[in-house]
Amino acid sequence: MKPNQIAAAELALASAKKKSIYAEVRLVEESSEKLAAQDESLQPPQRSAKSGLAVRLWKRGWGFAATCSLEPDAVQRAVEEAAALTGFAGGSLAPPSTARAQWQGECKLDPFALPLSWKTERLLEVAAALEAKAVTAREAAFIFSRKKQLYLNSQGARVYQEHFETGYSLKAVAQGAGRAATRSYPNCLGGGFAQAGFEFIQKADLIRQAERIAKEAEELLTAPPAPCGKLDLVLCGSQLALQLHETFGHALELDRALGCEESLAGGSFLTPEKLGEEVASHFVNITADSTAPGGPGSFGFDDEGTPAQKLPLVRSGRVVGFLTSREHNLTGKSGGAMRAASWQDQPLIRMTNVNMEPGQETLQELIAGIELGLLLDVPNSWSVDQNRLNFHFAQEAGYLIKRGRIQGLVAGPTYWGDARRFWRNCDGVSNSALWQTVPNCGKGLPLQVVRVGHKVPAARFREVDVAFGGRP
Amino acid sequence: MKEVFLERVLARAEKSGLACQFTLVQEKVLSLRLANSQVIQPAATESFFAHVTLEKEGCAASSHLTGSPDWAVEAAWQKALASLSQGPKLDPLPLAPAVRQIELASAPMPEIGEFTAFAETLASSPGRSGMLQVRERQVAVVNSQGLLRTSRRQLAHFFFSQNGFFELAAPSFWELQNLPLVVRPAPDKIKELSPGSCRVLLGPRAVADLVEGIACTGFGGREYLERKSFLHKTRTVGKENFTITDDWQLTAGLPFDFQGTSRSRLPLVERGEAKRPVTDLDLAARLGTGSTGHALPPWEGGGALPLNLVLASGDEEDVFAALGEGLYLPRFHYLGLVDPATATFTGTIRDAAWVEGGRLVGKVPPARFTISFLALADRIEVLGKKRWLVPGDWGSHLVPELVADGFNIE
Repeated sequence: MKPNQIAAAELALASAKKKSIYAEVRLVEESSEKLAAQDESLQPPQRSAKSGLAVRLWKRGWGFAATCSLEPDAVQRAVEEAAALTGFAGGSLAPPSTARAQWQGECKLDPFALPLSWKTERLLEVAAALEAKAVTAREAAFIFSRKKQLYLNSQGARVYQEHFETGYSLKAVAQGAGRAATRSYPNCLGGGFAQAGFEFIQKADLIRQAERIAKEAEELLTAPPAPCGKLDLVLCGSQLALQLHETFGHALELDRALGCEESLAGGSFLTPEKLGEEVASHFVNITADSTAPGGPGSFGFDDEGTPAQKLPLVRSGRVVGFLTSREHNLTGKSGGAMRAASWQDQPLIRMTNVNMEPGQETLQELIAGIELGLLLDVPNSWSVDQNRLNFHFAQEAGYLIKRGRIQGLVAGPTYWGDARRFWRNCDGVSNSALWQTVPNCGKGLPLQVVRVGHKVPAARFREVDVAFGGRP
Repeated sequence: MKEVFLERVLARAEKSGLACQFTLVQEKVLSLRLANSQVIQPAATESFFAHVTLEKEGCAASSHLTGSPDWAVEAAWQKALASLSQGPKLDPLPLAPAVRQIELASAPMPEIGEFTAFAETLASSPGRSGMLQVRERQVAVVNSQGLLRTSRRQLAHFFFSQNGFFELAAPSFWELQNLPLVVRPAPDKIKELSPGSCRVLLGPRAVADLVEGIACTGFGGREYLERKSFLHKTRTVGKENFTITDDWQLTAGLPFDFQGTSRSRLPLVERGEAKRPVTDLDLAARLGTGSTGHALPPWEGGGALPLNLVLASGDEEDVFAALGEGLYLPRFHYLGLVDPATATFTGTIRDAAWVEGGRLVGKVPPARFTISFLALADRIEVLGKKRWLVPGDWGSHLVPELVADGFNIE
């Protein structure tokens, strides 16, 4: 960060200290690049840079202001506005950070240092692998970003963090016989990401994945419809990640569980008095881990300066913890889950990396235990009620399982249920987990969109309501 | 953005020798939340956003930046220029012809004290949770053809939930304060619904979602070209009483789109009969028509959607009496599109109540529905006389409440 930017942050802190009991300043600089190919042609490369400064003060409640101008008068105005917005809430806070530290995410191949032409050649190779006879639309994208952040507070904390993110997204649309079918990889939400450099793309085996989804999109045109009724499911990939995200991740945000999101994002079926209660089968273990190297939700310190932590949320099916902050916690300590989507957003309790711990069985063993069911990996529609109980997921495709073996693709499966019953019916978890991303997790007002990581195995769920193309 | 600044941007565009378009957005936002009658998360933000697309000899590149205006415009230009030589070969950049339109008049933003004082009046009733936001947004589009258009709009908006859902929006904070707030709380008694079909009274937010769901799955130009639109299968959308128009003037919208093309009142559905999809310059060229002025922000991936929807009102003064007995549903929760070909959405009901004899008699817990919005539009029985402004992402909608039959609870 440039000296004039740092000087602006220090000016903001010095001024804010005079107007509050506690003050913190975040200076953020982000740059990104998106390379996209549609069919044979590249789209114009999109490059962006965002920078600005945020001030948050505490004086009988928080006051927050942000400005994209680092001129002294703009910084001073932001401090004045934040101060004018304090005084509307009481409560107490867990101790503030006094950390003085630097943190850097892992990156072996700086994507911004690589020639654009070299990256676009790699992208076109992947896009070409999406070709198949019935595929009428192909999309491939590489996305890179770099974020630098300086956090200062009135207790002397000074934390500088820097990391890269790299992501990719593939899609093949096939048309024929009056039908259209889409397959995406690794999800249809906007891509899979890691805090890493271009090496993340090199390791992803994208050519093989592109060929697979193109072939599957074709096959779906003539695939039979998904069976209906109470079926056993194996969920993996982005589908299990999204199921975990929607029904446990959001439900375990403590601000939500305490009613602070009641009118907007909603409430939670997991309120603090549920601590210790069994809400899933004993196979289910969930951990929030912002320390995991490369995780899309990893950091050294959250946006209140609290160090990254690895905290159990569910153990053997029982709720043992929540995602917490200095203001909203049950132990007098923050769990370090405060994240702001950008320089102009105030930090909120967000998922970091909310992971499901691996179990004992192999994926093949999970499948072998099913007489009639489906393996599901990529959703194309999702919905859950405001208390995170009543969910509904539609899929791009399903793999039919009969007598313990995968038989082929089926079209249009949809499943739904009640989160408590669903997770209690989990009777097996595979022994290896892979990173998935929910890149578009929204919360707050104005809406903040962040990337959340979920390292998930595969898991088996018994007697789930399934239908073809919606509901019976 | 002052006129003199925009003139500098125009001069850069015209003298560059490149085909180019700047899209500039300046925003001031005051926002806060209410939780259990306490003000939380109060915030004041100011941002400036510059997007530029350049094209030279068939190569194109784009970039977008936030920062102080002069710096952001310069840096966005340099960033795009740096990738231009390596950019892909493309069709010529579509540019709207030269027009000059500068509209800087807008209601003043409230002082923070005025804003928080109003919030405290909203919070004064015990148990309220909700939000209050005032947003002033100035959008400018400038291109190398000599086009310079800018317009500034304010939108003020609040909602809260407290045994129901209540929402109001207005083109200025000052107008919002003077709107009458009719609070219609449901009694605490819980009314459990059995699965099955019922008559429903949709509140303004739910109607806006219904109309937007139909408009975006059917009338988006890109969706139409990709044959995802239901217009390829049916031209019947609702009955005689169903008319949707895209009209920026009635909805505090912008008079031009994100390519600078003028917008005019555009019928989408007239008395149950669907009209044409909306377009930007690129989609219009591919469809062999003119642009309807519905280009989306270029940083959102392009395409065209109607953003300022107006649903024709009916003549019913008392929609609750017209419902008689049935479900009052002020808002849907978490809609997911299940099938674009039939505009079928799934979601859950939220803040709903049961109505008997035209009066709220109990709260209805969340329940799931999966329903074709086209089928629901076809079963509209009654439209309210009064219409409400309902904010969306880049525009607002103006809709009445309505009563429909055959709303299926699962």
